[in-house]
Amino acid sequence: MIENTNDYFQAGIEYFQIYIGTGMFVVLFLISLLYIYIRDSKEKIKTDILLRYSIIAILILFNPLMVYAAEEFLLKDMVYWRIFWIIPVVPVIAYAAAQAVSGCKEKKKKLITSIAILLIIVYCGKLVYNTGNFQEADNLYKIPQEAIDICDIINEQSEDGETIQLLVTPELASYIRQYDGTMKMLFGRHGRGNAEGEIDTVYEQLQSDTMDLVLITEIARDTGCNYLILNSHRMPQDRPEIDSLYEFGYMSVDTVGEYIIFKDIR
Amino acid sequence: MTIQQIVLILLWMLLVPFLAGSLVTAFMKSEQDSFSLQYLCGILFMFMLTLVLALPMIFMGSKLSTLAIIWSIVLLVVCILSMIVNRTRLTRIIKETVCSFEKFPWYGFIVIVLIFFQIFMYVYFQHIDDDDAFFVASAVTAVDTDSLFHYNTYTGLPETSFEMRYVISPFPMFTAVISFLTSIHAAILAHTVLPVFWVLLAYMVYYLLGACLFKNDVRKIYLFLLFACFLNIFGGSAVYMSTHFMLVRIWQGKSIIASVLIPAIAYLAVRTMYQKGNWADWLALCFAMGGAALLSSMGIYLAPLTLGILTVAYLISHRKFKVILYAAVSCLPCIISGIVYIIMR
Repeated sequence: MIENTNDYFQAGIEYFQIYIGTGMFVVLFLISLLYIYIRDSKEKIKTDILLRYSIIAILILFNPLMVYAAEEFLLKDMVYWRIFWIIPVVPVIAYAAAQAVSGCKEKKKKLITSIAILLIIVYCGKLVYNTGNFQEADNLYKIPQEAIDICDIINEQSEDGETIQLLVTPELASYIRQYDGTMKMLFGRHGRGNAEGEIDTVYEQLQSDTMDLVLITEIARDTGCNYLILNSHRMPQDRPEIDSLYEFGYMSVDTVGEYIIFKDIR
Repeated sequence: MTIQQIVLILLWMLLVPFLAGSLVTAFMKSEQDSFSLQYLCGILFMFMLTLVLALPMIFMGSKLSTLAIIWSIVLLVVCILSMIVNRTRLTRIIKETVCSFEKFPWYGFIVIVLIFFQIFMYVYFQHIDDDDAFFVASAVTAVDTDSLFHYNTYTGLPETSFEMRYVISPFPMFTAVISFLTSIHAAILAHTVLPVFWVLLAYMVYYLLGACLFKNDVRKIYLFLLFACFLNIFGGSAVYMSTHFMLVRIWQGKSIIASVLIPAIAYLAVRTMYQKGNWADWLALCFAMGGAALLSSMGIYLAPLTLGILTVAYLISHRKFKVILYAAVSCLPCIISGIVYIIMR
């Protein structure tokens, strides 16, 4: 039962705020809907699929019952904002803009209107291709080159038919199996996986700036990891700690960037 | 990539969808000869086929190679049937596609440059996304181990139970099948090769939608595309909007739903309801629903919700209640996927 409809309505608004970002495109969208209402209200297809559809979608998506149903039964990870994808923001704005330009009779006016609308879009938006989103590709796989090099070295080091079980520093855990699906790992992205028990401990240790190598190697040995990939920047610099890896039977076989590859030599 | 791989990817991602789509459109009544429509229907058919084959095969513990072989045989049979049924029509489609460029306005070149710019960005640059630890790694795992979700994607250890939210929408297996058939590594395929086709498909759908809205006025359609391109390219002010997903990580199923499937459902709904489409149009809409169910578990409810709203909007102005039944039937792939999810989770 919904205990407080206002809370769910509020939640719907909050998700919408997450979805719209700066909100400028939504302003353009609403202006476009108004334009379509004024200009094309007699044309059934356009009114139905752009105007009526948008209004019904908005009414449904902000309905507390919908937010409640989605949160309780459909979405378990707070991604209600994805449901707003059904609002046709781009088609509606693009349609209204194209109609506005087509409505001008002279070629010069059409050109000026087009440029003005494009400038408004540029002003209201933000280029998708910024450095936060994109960087020059290291390789065609589009995964960090270190992950590829590490996999290649391990494959060279391992014997035919040998099962490779890795303990990988968390920052590389998401990428190893995007390159080589045969490699086994103690945990994947954000420590996820189907292993349990000591995994959380080792995951936390590997993220720590003061790694307890003795504990890590103990767990690696217990869980049958035959390769360890550790971040050298987080490793303790004193020899006894590093030597503990050798005591547990792991020997450094190669280095890729800041990562050291240890192999089980027992 | 080798020449052989390029030829194979063009075969499986261009020629096969074109021929498969032509078989569906052969039975449509009107406006069925554009290349974009053939391609859209073909891709939707391929999605539907993947869903229908992969879902039971995952639960039966089948191999990826078995899925890929059955999948390719069915598609090759469909392509042969298409060539027989469309033996005179295929040249007409090519002619119509070529002729459509005769009315091409000058700013159409800007649209083409902008679309290829978006494709170039996908090919030459990279966006590292944590979600790929599942979406791409599951395809890589399937190819490397010749299995279908038998191994945990994150660890590679044998799976003890299926994570139903992901298994119910096995889009990574589509990528895996194409990888198996072309010998292109699944990560290269997902990150570098397939985005080329997904971006093109997204704008083909915009083109079709524009053709509906502007009654085939090419000048207006290209204006519509020009503004759509700008809105997508400058859609970075909201990272959760579909514009952002379309140009940053289109290889993920949910992004294809946002940028291709939802506009495609709107377009196909116009064909079926407003342009008095026949059973073939409804079938294409049904394939779109299957595609949504394949791409992401959220597609299972997002696609019927979209069609439901479109149906209500139609009923307000037309009051032809028969469409409710047709719309409900075309939602069957999503309904069945939803039931399987509830039973198996």
